[in-house]
Amino acid sequence: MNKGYDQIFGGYLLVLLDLNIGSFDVLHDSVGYGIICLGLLKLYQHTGIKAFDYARMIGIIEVIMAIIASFFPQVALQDMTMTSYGLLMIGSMIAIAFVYLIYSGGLAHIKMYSMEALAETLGRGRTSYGLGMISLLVAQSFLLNATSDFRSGIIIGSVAVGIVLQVIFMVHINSLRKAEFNEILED
Amino acid sequence: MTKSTRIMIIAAMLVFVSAFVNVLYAQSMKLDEPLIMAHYDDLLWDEGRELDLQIHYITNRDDDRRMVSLDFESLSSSEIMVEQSQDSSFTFSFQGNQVYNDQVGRYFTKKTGYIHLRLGEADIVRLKEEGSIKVTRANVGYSDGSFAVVNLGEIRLLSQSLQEELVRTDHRGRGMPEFTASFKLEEAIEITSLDLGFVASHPDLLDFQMMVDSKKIYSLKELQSIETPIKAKVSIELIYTIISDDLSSYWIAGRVHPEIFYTSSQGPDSFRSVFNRSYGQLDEKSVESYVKLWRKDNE
Repeated sequence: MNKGYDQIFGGYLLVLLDLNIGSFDVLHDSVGYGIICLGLLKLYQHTGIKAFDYARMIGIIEVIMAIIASFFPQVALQDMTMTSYGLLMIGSMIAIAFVYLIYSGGLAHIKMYSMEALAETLGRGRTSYGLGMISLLVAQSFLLNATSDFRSGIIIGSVAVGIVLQVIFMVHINSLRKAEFNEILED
Repeated sequence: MTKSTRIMIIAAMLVFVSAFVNVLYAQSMKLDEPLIMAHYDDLLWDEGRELDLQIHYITNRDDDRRMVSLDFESLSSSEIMVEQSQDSSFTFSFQGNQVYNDQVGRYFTKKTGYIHLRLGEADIVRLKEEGSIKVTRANVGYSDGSFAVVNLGEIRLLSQSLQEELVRTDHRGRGMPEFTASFKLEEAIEITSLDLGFVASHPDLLDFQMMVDSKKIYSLKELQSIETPIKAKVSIELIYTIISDDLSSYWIAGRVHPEIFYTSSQGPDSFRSVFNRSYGQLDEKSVESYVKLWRKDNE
């Protein structure tokens, strides 16, 4: 059972890490999202929690988007155009929904086993992640009209807060990996 | 639906509304066509020499068009070459693209074209006969094959050197940019009127004073309606003070070109005070303020 969370953890790590040879990312994001989807499928099959299934569907979109994105040059946030801005907004919303649903699935899962302390931690994590990332996105929505100085501030702030929230998410997934519910279900 | 999910949906809607409003605002800032920055200049022509000038133009940030050709309407037989402004600090780029010395802002990019003008026979004859040729409009060709007839400002080609000596200083005092132009006089004159052009139409942006013989100072209001001719024996100094702090002295100096009408022992005459041939470095704020002012004056 915990293997599903192992795959989410490993897959997400692949998404976060980049190992570029030339301009090609050896640890391609699509592979990471693919592994997460496998983990989500496993969890959905074992628990029947809908959030895992929704997350898996969004994960498939992420796989496709990651493959398409690899055919286009990366645009730095400071060189934002109308098109890259639109893609950033939509892509970010999808990414937030993806993680939020994984949080929701994990939360529903541990509630099934009455792990109150972990449920509380995950609940807080989900809210922090959701509101934190949405706040970043609201700030990023001003990138098109932001002056150079303000734009730099938004970018630095987004990167810093984004990394923190993603690391916290990894920590929470790690907690789920270590939770002791797999044996109960497999029995 | 849980409370948390409802909050997330509301937050997501907030993102979309914010993004939508931002897109609408950014769209409203777009220029329909590249904007050529008005240029006032006097170019002295010498036999066999090219005339060089810089044309600065503003495009939308995502508009990668470049000026590739230019024909002055009032010149019939001249060869004009447009050279791109390239960044000398980069000798290559990974994409193999040219690296231009553009100034990129949030909405606009300011680009520069270096114009090399070689006068043809017919224009040389005309210039010698008339003493000067005014160039105000040009047909500009862009890299995508499009053309546009544009107002350039006013560039005067002069066949002989100007009699007046122009001295320009540009300094900052108390955080407010000021610039001056001084003229030494060979003989006494009586100033009868001034055509202040840009200065008179934008008193909210620019204050203007004239100091005569390093003593008497005349205000913009006094200069706009001279009742008794102003006597000047030694020197005239034009003093500009930029009132608005979001305007760059570089480009505003390129817009001021007052013409001063006078009478001397040789009869009535006039001279024009033209400042720099380059706008220098224009920051994002200055480029935007230029576009804003252009819109106010033209739309």
